[in-house]
Amino acid sequence: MSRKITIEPVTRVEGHGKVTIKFDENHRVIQTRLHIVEFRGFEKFVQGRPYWEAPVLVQRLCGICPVSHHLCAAKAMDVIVGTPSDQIPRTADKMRRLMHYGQVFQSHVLHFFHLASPDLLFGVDSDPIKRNIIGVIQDFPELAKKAVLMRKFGQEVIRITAGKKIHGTGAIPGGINKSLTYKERDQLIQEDSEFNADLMVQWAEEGLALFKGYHKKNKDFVDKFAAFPSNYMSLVRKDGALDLYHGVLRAVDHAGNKIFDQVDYQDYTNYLSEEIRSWTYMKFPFIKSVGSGNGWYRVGPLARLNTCDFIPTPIAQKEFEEYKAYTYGKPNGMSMHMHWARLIEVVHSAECIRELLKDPEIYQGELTRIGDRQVEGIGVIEAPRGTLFHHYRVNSDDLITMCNLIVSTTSNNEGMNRAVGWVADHHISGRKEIPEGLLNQVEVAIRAYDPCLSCATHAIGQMPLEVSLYDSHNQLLDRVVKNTNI
Amino acid sequence: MVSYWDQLALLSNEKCLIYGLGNVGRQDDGLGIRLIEKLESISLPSFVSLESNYQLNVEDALLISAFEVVLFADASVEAEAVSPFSIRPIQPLLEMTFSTHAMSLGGVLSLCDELYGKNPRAFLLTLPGYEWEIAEELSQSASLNLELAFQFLRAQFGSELCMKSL
Repeated sequence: MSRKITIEPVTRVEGHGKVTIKFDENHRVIQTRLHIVEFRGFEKFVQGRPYWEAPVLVQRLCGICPVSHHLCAAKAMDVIVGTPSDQIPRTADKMRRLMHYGQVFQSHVLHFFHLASPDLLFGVDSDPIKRNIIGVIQDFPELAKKAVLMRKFGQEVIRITAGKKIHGTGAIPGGINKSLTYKERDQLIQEDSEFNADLMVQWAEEGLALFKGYHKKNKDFVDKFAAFPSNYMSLVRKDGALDLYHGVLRAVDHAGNKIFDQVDYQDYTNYLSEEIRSWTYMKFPFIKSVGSGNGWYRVGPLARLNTCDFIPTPIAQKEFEEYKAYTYGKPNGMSMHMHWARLIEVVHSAECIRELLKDPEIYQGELTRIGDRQVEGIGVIEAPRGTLFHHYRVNSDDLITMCNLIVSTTSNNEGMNRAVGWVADHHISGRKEIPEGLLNQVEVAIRAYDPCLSCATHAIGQMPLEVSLYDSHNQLLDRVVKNTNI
Repeated sequence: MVSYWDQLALLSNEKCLIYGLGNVGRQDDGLGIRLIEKLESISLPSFVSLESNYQLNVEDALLISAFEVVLFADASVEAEAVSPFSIRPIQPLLEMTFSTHAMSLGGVLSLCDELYGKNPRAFLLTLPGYEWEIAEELSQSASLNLELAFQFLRAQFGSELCMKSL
């Protein structure tokens, strides 16, 4: 008799995930599938709208990373107005970078301190009553307070660069609509402020030290949990440096061999394709030259530190060297090391923000530059969760006629499926009941990828996690529910 | 429907935050934000502050710690949600979320209490929603709910229930 386990956040619209695990008659896992309902309808929403509205409109996509969509659409529209993103004015480039690093900083901080640190501080098998942010506050109050202020700092960076905390208008086709003022900067650098750029670097290092301390004591778990090889892809700067805002596409295989490099992302369709599978609406991107079977790849912090050659800020570079030495310079396939990579990026982002705030060019200079109008434009950015693609076509009436988005959670689709499959193999196979702690393990595996499952509505009445056990006739055998009513 | 308004009514020197939540790109999900937009268009007492966001998160604990009273406004998908709107008190509540990147109202209140030792009186103004597609227009029924809630708040902030001078 085969059995099916379903892990389903019961939300009423898109943006939720569901895990199904099938057993054979001997209770061995034969299939694991993570279903994430993709956010495809938005592409229709943008069609027919003037192209210059896109950078603002796309922020409706997601309440978690609106800045990434804002900047990615702006980069695509740079191409439409004839000024590719590496040719926009220096002031505009630096303002956008400041906005982006503010976004990455606050997003990564939220993920690590709010979602991941309870697992590390209390253990993944600990009681969920304790294993949450409130537990962290009770046992590590100073750490929790710092995490809140780090979030606030990142959001202030976004506010002063994008113009607003939400629905910002800072980036426009060909540049930016304002430069930074010294008054705006001062609150982020004053020594007596409750937060400032120097403190952010220091606290980011403390967060990284927290992970490294946990790793030292739990090497077996951190190194083995959901570890598997894959291909990796990201933007890198032309000289191979980590660059989260702009660059060329690079992909490497599990051994570190380059699959492609120095690829202009305007040509991404020559290198990447998307596979459709019958059981999900979500596509599976793959590298064309490798093929759909083995061409899947991971994106995000783990991938970025596997593809880049170095990090162009001193403290993060030092940490990068230690990180790379752990795998003898080879790509790192350990899912839990995603946290390590993410925290190195937090340090890097804090360093970039500090550097940009001191840069005189960000306070004055040309804001936009317009060239010859084009009909098609592609923007790519390294969003906190990985490589994000925005692809548009615009007609002679300046209206968008086509929009295609590849979001990072889509690129990590296969990787997350494999991570959940690893958990199933190691914790469910051979069992007749849903084992205690299964939810924890599945959560930890998915959470390492920081998937954005909340890019839809959020209104009251959601129920985020449900595990149901069915037999081969789809009869419910068991169910575990996690509820988060207000 | 509004039986908790008496509790919400502001006392002398109390700072009040009205905080709208939602995504205006998902039709009625944007009701909370739309309410704030309407309130921004009128003159409110100086002790009333307005804020809006897609969802709540950890830093909102710090924000609300500076207020004595917080009125959250949000759309509701619950079948039993009262039309055109309802107001109810919210208590701190320990809860777990699964990778949602967002916190519940009770979770933020808990965080505020645990981190900063502050317990603002908190209420939720619930606006029933009906349509949640990717579009910016509210459904007709939701628009009516929004207008009635707006008129109610505007009247209350100008009424004797609000004991502060305007």
